Amino acid sequence: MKRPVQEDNRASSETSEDSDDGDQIEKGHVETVPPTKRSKLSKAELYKPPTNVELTTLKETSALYESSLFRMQISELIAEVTPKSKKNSSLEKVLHSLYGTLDKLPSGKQYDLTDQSWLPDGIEVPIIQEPCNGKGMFFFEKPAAVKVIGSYLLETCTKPNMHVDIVLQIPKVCLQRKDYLNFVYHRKRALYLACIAHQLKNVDYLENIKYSYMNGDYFKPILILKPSGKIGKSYVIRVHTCLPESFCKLSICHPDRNNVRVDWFTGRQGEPNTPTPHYNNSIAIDLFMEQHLRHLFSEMEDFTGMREGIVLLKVWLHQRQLNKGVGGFTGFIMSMLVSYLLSLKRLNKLMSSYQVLRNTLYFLANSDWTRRGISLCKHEDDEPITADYHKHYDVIFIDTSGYVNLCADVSRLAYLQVKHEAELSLKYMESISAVDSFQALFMTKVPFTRKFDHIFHVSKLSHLQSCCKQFDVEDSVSDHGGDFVTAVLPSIVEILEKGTGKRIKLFGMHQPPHKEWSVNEKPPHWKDLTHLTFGLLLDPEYSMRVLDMGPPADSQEAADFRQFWGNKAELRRFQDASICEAVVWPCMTMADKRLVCNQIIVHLLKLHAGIPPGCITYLGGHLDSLLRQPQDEKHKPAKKSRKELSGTGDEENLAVIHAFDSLNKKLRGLKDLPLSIASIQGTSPVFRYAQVFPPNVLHKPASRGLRLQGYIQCPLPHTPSQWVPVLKVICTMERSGKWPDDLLAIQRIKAAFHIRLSQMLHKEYKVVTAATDKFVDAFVDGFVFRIHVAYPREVVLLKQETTPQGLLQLRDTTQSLELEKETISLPKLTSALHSIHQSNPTFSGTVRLAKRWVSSHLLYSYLKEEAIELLVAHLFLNSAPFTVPGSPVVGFLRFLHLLANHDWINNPLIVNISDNYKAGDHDDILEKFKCDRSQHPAMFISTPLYKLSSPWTTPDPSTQVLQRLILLARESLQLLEQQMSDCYEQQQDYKQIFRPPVGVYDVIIHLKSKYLSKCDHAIDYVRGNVIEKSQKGEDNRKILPVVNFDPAEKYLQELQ
Amino acid sequence: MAAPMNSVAGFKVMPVKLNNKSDVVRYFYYKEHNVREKDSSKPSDRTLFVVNIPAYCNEECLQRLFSQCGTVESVHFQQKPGISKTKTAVEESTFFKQVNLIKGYKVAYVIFKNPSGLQNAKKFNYKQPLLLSTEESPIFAGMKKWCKEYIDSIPDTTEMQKEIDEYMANYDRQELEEEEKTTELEGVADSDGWITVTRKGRKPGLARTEVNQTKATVQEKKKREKTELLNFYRFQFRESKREHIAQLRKRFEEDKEKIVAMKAARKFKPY
Repeated sequence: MKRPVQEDNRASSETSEDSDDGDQIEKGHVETVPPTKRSKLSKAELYKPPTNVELTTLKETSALYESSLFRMQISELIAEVTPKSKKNSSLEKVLHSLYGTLDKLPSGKQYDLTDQSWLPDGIEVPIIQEPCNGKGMFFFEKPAAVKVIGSYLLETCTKPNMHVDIVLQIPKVCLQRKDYLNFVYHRKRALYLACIAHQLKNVDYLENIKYSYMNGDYFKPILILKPSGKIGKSYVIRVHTCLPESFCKLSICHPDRNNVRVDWFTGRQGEPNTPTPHYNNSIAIDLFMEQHLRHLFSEMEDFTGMREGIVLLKVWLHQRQLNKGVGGFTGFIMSMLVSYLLSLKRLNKLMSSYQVLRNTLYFLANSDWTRRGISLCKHEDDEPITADYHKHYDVIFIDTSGYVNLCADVSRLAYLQVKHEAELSLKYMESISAVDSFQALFMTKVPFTRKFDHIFHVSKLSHLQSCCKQFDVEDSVSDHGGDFVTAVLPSIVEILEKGTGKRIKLFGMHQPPHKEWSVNEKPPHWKDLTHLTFGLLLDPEYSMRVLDMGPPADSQEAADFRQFWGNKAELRRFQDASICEAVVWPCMTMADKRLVCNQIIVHLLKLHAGIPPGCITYLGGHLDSLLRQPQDEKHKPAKKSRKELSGTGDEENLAVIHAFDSLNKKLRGLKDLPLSIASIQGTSPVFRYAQVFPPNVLHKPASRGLRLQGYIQCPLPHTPSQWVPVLKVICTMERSGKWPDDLLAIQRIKAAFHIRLSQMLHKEYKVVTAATDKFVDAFVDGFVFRIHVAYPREVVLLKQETTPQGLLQLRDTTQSLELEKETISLPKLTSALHSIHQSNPTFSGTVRLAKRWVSSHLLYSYLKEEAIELLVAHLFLNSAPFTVPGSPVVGFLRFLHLLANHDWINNPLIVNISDNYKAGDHDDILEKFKCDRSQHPAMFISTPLYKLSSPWTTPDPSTQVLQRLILLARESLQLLEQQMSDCYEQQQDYKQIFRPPVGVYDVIIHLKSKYLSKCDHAIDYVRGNVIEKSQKGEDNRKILPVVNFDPAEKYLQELQ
Repeated sequence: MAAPMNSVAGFKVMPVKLNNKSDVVRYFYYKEHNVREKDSSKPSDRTLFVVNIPAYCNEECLQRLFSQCGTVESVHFQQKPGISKTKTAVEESTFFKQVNLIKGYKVAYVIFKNPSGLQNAKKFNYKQPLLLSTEESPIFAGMKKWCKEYIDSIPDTTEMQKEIDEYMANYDRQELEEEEKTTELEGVADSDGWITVTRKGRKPGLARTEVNQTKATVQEKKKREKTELLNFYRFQFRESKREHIAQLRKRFEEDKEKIVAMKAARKFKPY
C-alpha cells in the first residue's frame, strides 16, 4: 500500500528538478514546500480533513523513519551528495565519443612481452615488472566490448570525486592459454592500457590522462580520464579492463592453487610452490566484473531504499575515511553487502533508506568476517567453500560466483575498524535522538588524528624487507608480486597486538595513498612508500598498566614468553608467593604511564622487526611539555627530586586533593561549633583537576625581606614574593532557626564563624590560620586553603523583595546571582567534573591543555574557566562520533574542533552533566533558544543546573571574541593535525599553536589593551595571595615585570 | 601643551598633577551643583560638582584641594552624576563596610560648610597645577598601594569579635522587642476593627509569597481537571483525533522550516 505513494513523491520531485535545476531550495519534497516562504499554517488549513495521501505519508514517516525532521535531513543529504540529474548530457556526449574512438582503434603488431621498446615516447607501462622476464606475446586489438559499470550506472555516485567506471574487455586474440601464470596477464593488461592511453592522448574531449592504482593495488593500474570542460570538474572516467569468461578454467582461481611459480619469482629451483590466493583473486575479479554489476543491478531494481541506503552508507564510509587508501572498505563492497543482506531477507524491498542503513550497520557490528566469512554464492560441489578461504585470507566475503573474495585486499585492521565504527554508530543511534545522530553519522568527519588516542609513524620502511624472512612470509611476498610491505604487515600487527594486549581496543593503520601519476612517468614503487601510520585506541582501564604478568617460571610457556619479550622479561615474585615471568615498564610519573604503549611498541619493533627506535615517531605525549610546571628552580640549588620536576601536574593535583581531605577531616572533627557543618566543598579549579599548574607543596622556612604583621606575612613593594595561590573551600553550615533573617546580621555571624574556625583549627590541630570577615585562611600540608562559611538562605534573602501589594517575590539580583554561583553552583559543578575525571583520567590533561591554549591566546579573561571546563566535559559526555578521548592530546584536538565547528549562532551546546535532563528538556531548550536568540549570550551552554540560561558565558565572550576564538581554533587545529601527520620526517615544534600572534596586538591599540588587562589579571594574582610565614625565592610565573605598571594606565585600560 | 583655559562649557578648569616629579597635567572640571531633582544631601548653594577625577584620587585629596576656597564639609564620589542610591550608612562599622567600588573615572560632589566656599571656588584663579599627592597625605600607586591594601585587609580579630558581639546583642534585643510587640498585638483589633494575622498565633496565616500563590493556583487547576471527563462524548473523540492530525501537521510544518533554515546554513554539505 505504501509503495505507490513514495514512488509518486519521487517522480514529482524529479520532474521539478528538471524544470529548474538551479534553484536549490526547490528540490526534494516538492509537494510540500512552496517557493515563497510561508510562515504558519492558518487555522483552517490546520484542521482541514486529511487526504489519503497525506495520511499515509504521515504514517510512513513515523513507521519508516524516526521523525519527519530526520527523514527530511536524509533526503536533503542525498540530494546534496548525488548528482542533480540522472543523465548528464555533456557527460553522455563524452562517453559516446570515447566509445567511438575505442571502437575505431587500429590493431597493433605482435611483440614479445619483455620487449617494450616499441612503445611510443612519453608513454610508460604502469606496472612494476620485477623480475623482468616473462613468457608471452603482446598484441593490441581494439576491445571486444566497452561497458559502463559501477556506481554511475547504479545511480549510487556520491560527491566528491564522482567517477564513471568503464570496463574494456580484452579480446580473446590478445590472450594466450597460460597467461594466468607469473603476472603475464597483469603485464599485458598494463601494456593494453598504455596503448589505450597513447591512442587517447590527443583527443579533444579529454583534458588529461593519468594512471592510478585501483584501490592501491600495485598490479591493477587503471586509466583516469578527465573530460575537458565543465564536466571534468565533477566527473572523471576510470578505465578498467576485464577478461572474457573463457580466459581460463575457474578452478585455476581456487585459492589453494599456485600461479606464481617460485623458481620464476626467486630464481631458485626445486622449492615447493605455495598457494597464491591474492594473485588468483586478482585474476578472478577481472573475470567476474560484469557479473557483479548485473547482480547488483537486478537486486536494485524497484528498490529505491537500497539505492539511497547505499548512498548513505558511502557517505558514512567517506566521513570515516574507511573507503580510502590501500585495502579500504570500498563502496563496491558495501553495495555487495547490501545485496547480500537482501538475499538473507534481512532487508526487504519496502524498506526506507534509513532502515537499509540501520540494518546494514547492525549486520556489520554483529558479524565477524574474520572468523565466519559470508558468501553470496549458493554452493555447488566444485566451488571452494568458505573454509578454504579462511586458510588464506583475513577477511572473507565471497561473491556470487564463489571464486572471488571481495575483501581479499581489505586488511584485517581495516575491517575491524569498519566493524568498530558500525558498533559505535549503532550505539549513538540508540542513545541520542535521531536528529543529533544524523550529525554524528553523516556530517562529522572522523579523521585519523582525531580518531585515535595515540598515533605512531614508522618511517624508513626498507627495514621491513629484511624481516620478511624472520616472519616466514616469503610465500606471501611472491603472492603480492614482491610487495613486502603488504606481505609483512599482518605479522607485525600480530606482534604488536600480542604485546600491548588489553591496553588497546583497536588498532588502526593508514598508508599514504599513491597519487595518480602522469602517463610519461614510471609507476610509484612500494619502496617509495615513506611511512606507515598506526593509530591506537586505548582502553582506559588497562592502558596504564606497567606490569605484564607472564606464565609461571617453571611452565612450558615461559620460554616462549622470554623469547617474545627478549631481555625485558624477568622473573618476579608476586604477592601470592607465585614466581612468574613478567615484564615491567619503568614509569616515574603519570605522564610516563600514559605512554607505556610507546615503550612496548618501540621495544617489540626493535626486537622482532629490527626497526630502530629512530624510525618510530610516537605521538601521544607531544604536548605534555606544556603541562609541566615551569622549571625555574633549575638554577637554584634546591634539592628536588627529578621526579617532582618532570611530572605533568597529575601528582601535584593529587597532593592537593589529599591535603584537602585532611582539612576536611579536621573541620569535621571540630566538636564545639555552635552549628554543625552541612558540607565542605572545594571550588577552585584544582578540585576539578582543571588547574593548569596545580600549586606546589610549600615547605620552606620564612624568607627574607618580607614584613611580618603578627605571624602573618605581608608583601613589600620592592620585594618579589612567591606565587602561592589560595584554594577556595566553601563550608556550608546547617540550617537552623538561630540564623537571623537580616543580611547584615548574617554577615556578622559569618564573620564570627570565621574567627571561631580559625581559633579552633589553631588550638586543636596547630594549623596556622588567619581570619577576616569574609574568609579564614588555613595553611594545611603546604597548601593555603581559604575557607568561606556559607548559609544557603542568604541567597534567598538577597533575592527577596516586597511588591507594593505586600507580596513577597523572589527576583534575581546581581548580588544574589554572584553568591549563588559561588556557594551553590560552583560546588555542584566541581563535584560533577570531579566525577567525570574519576571515570576518565584524561579529563584533567585535556582541560588543562585547553585552558593553556585559550590563555596563551590572551583570551582567558574573556572565556570563563568554567566555560572551558564545560566544553571539555561535553567531549567526554557526548563523544559521538568518536569514543571517549583516551589521551589529552586527542581530547584537545576535539576541543578545538568543537570550538571551531559548533554552530554557536543557531544551536545551544547542551552539556548533560550527571545525566540530569528529563525527556522533554532537550526540545524545550532548543525551542526557547530559537525564540529569543538575541537575548542569549553568543556562546550558549546549557547544563542541567541552568537549563535556560548560561551563567558561565555571560556576559563574555562577546560575539567578536567568539569569532576570534573560532578562527584561532580552526587555524590551530589545522596546523597541529598537519604537524602530527608530517612529523615522521622531521622534528616539529608543537608549541607553535600556543604562541600568540603578538604582532597583531602591537599594531591594533584596542587589542593591545586586552593584552594589558590580562597582565592586570596576573597582578591581581600576586596581590591577593601572598601569605603565610614560609616563602622563599622568585615567582615561578612570569608576573614579576608587570608590577611596575602605573595604576592610572591600568585603570585607563579598564575603562576602554 | 595648550595654555590652561579658565573655563570650558560652563565648567571651571582646575589643573592638577600627581606630584612634583610628574610632567602630566590633568584637569578637573567643576561647576555649581544645580539640578532639578533636589537632594537633601547635596544642597545646591553649597555643593560643587567635579568631573574628570582619576580613579586613584580619594576623598581626602579633594578635601585638601578645595579647602583653600573654604571649609569643606564632605566629599562624595559617584560613578555617574545623579542622585546617589547608596545612602551613607547610619552607623559606621570599622570592619563591615558597604564597599562601593567605582571603576575608572568618577565624578565628585564637594559640599562646603557655607555658601561662600562655593562662590570662592567659582572665582578662584589657578596659576599652576596643584599637587594631588603631598608628603603629608600621599597617594599610593602601583605596588605600594596594593601592599597597603593587603595589609589593611588583615583585620584585628579580637576587635572584630568585640564589635560583632555588640552588634548581635543589639540585634537580638531589637528582635526581642519586635516579637513582644507582635505578641501583644496578636488578636487585638485596631481602631477600624481589623485584626492583623501574624505567624505567631494559634492559627498562623500562610505567608503571602509568590511561591505560595502559584502553588495555590496549580492545585486549583488540578482539582478542576479531575472533575472533567475526557474522550467521553463522541464529539470529544472526533475533536481529539482532529487535534492529533493538526499537531502532526504543525510539527511537520515546523520541521520543514527548520530544514530550510539548516539549508541556508549549509548544513548538508558533508565535506
